Amino acid sequence: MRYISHLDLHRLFKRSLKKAGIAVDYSKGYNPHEMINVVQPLSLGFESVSEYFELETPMDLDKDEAAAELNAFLPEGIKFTASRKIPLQKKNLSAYSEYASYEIRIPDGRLLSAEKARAFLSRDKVTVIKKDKKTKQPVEKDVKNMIKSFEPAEGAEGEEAVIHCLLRCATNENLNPLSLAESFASFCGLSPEKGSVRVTRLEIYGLKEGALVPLLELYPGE
Amino acid sequence: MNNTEVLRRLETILPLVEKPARYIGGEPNCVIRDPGPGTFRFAFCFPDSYEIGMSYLGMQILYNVLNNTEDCCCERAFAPEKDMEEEMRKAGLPLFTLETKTPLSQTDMVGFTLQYELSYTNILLMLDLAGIPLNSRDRSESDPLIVCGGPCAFNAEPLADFFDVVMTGDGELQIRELVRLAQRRKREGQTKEWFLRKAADIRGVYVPSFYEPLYDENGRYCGMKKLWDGAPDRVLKAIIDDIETAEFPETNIVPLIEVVHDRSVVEIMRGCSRGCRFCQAGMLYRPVRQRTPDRICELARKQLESSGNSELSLLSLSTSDHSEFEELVLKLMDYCQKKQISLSLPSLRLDNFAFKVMDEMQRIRKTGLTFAPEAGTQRLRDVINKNISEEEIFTALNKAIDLGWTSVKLYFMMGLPTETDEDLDGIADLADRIMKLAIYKNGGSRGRFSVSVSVANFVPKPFTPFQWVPQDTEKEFERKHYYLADKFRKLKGVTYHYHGSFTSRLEAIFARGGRELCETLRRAYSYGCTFDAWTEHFSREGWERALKETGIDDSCAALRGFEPGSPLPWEIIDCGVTESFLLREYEKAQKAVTTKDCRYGCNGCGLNRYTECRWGDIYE
Repeated sequence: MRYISHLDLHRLFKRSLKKAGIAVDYSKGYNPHEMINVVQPLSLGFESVSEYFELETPMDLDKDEAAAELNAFLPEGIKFTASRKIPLQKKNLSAYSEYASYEIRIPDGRLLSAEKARAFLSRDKVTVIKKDKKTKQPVEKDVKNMIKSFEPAEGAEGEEAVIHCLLRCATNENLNPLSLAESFASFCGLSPEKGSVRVTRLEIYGLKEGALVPLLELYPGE
Repeated sequence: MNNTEVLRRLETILPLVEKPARYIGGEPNCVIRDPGPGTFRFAFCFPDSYEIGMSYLGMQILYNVLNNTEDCCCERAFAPEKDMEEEMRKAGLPLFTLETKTPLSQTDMVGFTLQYELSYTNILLMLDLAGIPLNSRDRSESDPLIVCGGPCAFNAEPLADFFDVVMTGDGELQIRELVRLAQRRKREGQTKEWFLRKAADIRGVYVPSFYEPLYDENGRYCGMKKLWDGAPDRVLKAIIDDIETAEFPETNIVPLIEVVHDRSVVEIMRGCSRGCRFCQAGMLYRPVRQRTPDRICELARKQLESSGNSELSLLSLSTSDHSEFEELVLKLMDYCQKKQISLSLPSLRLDNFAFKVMDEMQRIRKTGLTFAPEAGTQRLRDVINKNISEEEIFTALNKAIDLGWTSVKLYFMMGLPTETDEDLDGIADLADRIMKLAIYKNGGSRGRFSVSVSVANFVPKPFTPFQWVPQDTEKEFERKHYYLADKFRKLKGVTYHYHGSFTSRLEAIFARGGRELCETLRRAYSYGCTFDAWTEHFSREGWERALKETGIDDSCAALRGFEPGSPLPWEIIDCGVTESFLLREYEKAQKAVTTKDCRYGCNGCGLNRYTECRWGDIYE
C-alpha cells in the first residue's frame, strides 16, 4: 500500500477503530481529537514492512482480538502483525524513535558499488538537496552525522542496485532516504528517472540501555 | 492486454501522478471477484474524478444491485485526471477497472451515469482511453455494449451516436433486466441487433439507433423517424412503485483517500411534491416515494457498522417533507449520539422542529445557515413556484441569530422567465436587510456575522414547465452580473459569488439540444476539452471552435427556446408527466400564479396513470 498519504492512513485507522467498536480517548482542548498516532509517518510512495501505530483506549481490550478485528477491515497490504499494551506515557511513541532502516532500490545500478559508497561517505560533507521550509527554495544540507550505515547490499548484481541503510529518524531530525539515494546516484554519475527509485522501510529503532533496538522491543510482550 | 500487464504498466506510472490512490482500487468493501468464464462483466463509469464519483450514491446503489445479480460482476472506472491521462497514453495503458485492472474493452457492458452536461466530454475521453470506438455504429459484435442512465439520460440526444442503449427512470430493476438480456445474448450467441431489439421492450430503455431525427430547412428539429417498425413510439421511463423494498446497499465502498463526501448516506425519499417550475429533478423523479423510519434506521445502522463512517447523511430532494420526519430524526439522533456519529440533514425546512434538532446536533460548532429563495422578489418566487416567503426567512433568521449562528448563505438564480432588474434589486435588498437585522440584534455592530450570496445562471431544462423558454444571452447575463456586483460592492460583510455564463450557455445547449450536437462534442473533445466543469481545465477556445464549426450559435433552439406545441428534440422520452400539465404550469407562471404542493391535493401531472401516488393527497 504505497499510495495513501499519512492523513489518509490516519483516517483509515480511525474508521477501522470505529468499525471494530474500539473506543479511543480524546485529547482535552478546544478541538478534541482522537488519541491515536502513526509513528514517524512515511512519505507518499514509500513502502514499509514495519510500522507502528498507537492508540489510547478507555476499554479493557484483548489486544490480539482487537488487532484481528482491525485486520478484518483493513485493505490488502496493511496489517497489524503484533500488538502490545504499553504504559501511558507523557510523550507518544514517535518521541522514542531514533533511527530507521531502509532498503533502497535504484533501477540502473551498474555504476554503483560498495567502493563508491565508501568514497561517498568518506567526504567531509555528505549533502542532500532539501527544500527550505520557509522560502521553498532548494538548499544543500550536510547530513553526514545522520547516516549510521549506508551500503549496497551484499551480492547485489545485475541491473538493479539494492542499498541498505540506517538513517536518523527522530522527531527533531529526520533524513529522507530518497534524497540521500538521489545524492548518491548523482555522485556516481547517475540520474534515475523520477519515481523509479523504490524505498522500503524495514524497521524503526529506539534506544534501550544504549543500544538500538526495534521499537517493539522497548515493550517486551507478555 | 491482460490484467498483469495493466498492473505492471500502472506500477511504473503511479509514482509520477498526483494522488495515485485514485487509480489503485482495493478499498474496503469493494467487490473483487475472480470472474469465471461465464461471468458477465459490467464496468460502471463515472465521467468525472474519483473524488466526485465516489461521493455519488447512485453508483453505490447500482454497484450493489449488479454485484447481487447472478453471474454478474460490476467494477468501477472514473475519468483519469489530465496528468494520469498523459502518463497512460505514454505508457500505452488503456483505461481499466479499479477492481481487477481489466481493460474496459474486455468487459461486456460499459455503463455511464449522466449527472450533468459538463461531464459529457469525459465520456468520450474514457471511451477513447479504453480504445473503444466512440460511435455505436463503428463498434463490432465483440465490443462491449455502451449504455447510460441518470437524469441527463432523459435527453441523451446530444450523446445518441455514442450509446447503444439509454436507460431512463429508476435504475434498480431495469439495469438488472438489461444485464439478464445481455447475458442471454452472450449465452445464445445472438447478435447486437437481436439484443437491441429485445432491449427496446424493457421499460425505460431507449435505443437511439432505431430512430433518426428530422430537421427542417432551417436546421430545426421537426420530428423523429423510426428506422425499425418494432421500436416504440415513445419510451416511458422505468418506475419503481415502492422504494421501501427496493434494493439499497448495506455496505458501501470506503475510499482510501479523502473524497467530497466521506459518509454513509441513506435515501429516505425519492421524488418531490413541491413542484418548483425550474426544477428538473422535481419532475423526473415523480411520484414521491418514501422509506419507513424503521427501514431507514436499519439501513443507516448497517451502513455505519460496515463502513466505520463517522458521519451520516440523509438523501432526498426535500428532507423535511418525509411524512414521519420528526420520528425519523429523533430516532436517528438518539442512535448517532450514542455512537458518536454526526448527523447531517441537508435541505431542511427551517421550522421550530428544525431548530430544536440543529441546536441539539451542533452544540459545539455552528455551521452556516442556508436558504435557497432562488429569486429576489415574491412575485418572481411565485412565477417559479418556489414556496418560501420572506416572513419565513426572517422568522428563521431571528431564531438562528439568537442561537448564535453567524453565517448565512443565500442561493439565487438569475435569468429566470419574466425577470426584471427589480427582481435583481430584491436579491441585494434581501441580503442587506439580513445584515441589518444581524447588526441590530448584535447591538449595533456586525461582529463576525457574514452573508454569502451565490447567484447561478438559469438553465432551462427539458421536462419542466420552463422547457420552452429562451435562456438569457451571455451578454445579458454579464450585464446582470455587473449590475448586481455593483450593488453588492456597497454592502459590507456580504460576499457575492456568480457562475461563468459561458458554461451556463453550454449547459443549456446540451440540456435541450438534439443529435446534431454529437459532432460538436466529438470536435470539442478533439480540441482538448475535458473536465469542463473544472474552471482550471475548461477550454473556452476549444468549445468556441467546436461550436462555430458545427454551426451552433445564439440562434439555436436550445438557447432561443421553442414554441409550445412544436416538436421537442427529447419528445421520444415520456417522463410520465404530461406535456399539457407542463404547459398549464408554464401559463400559470407567466401570470405569477402558484400551484399547491401535491400532498395537499392532486394537481393532475399525469404520473398516476402509471403508478400509485401514495404520498400525493395525504394532507387533503
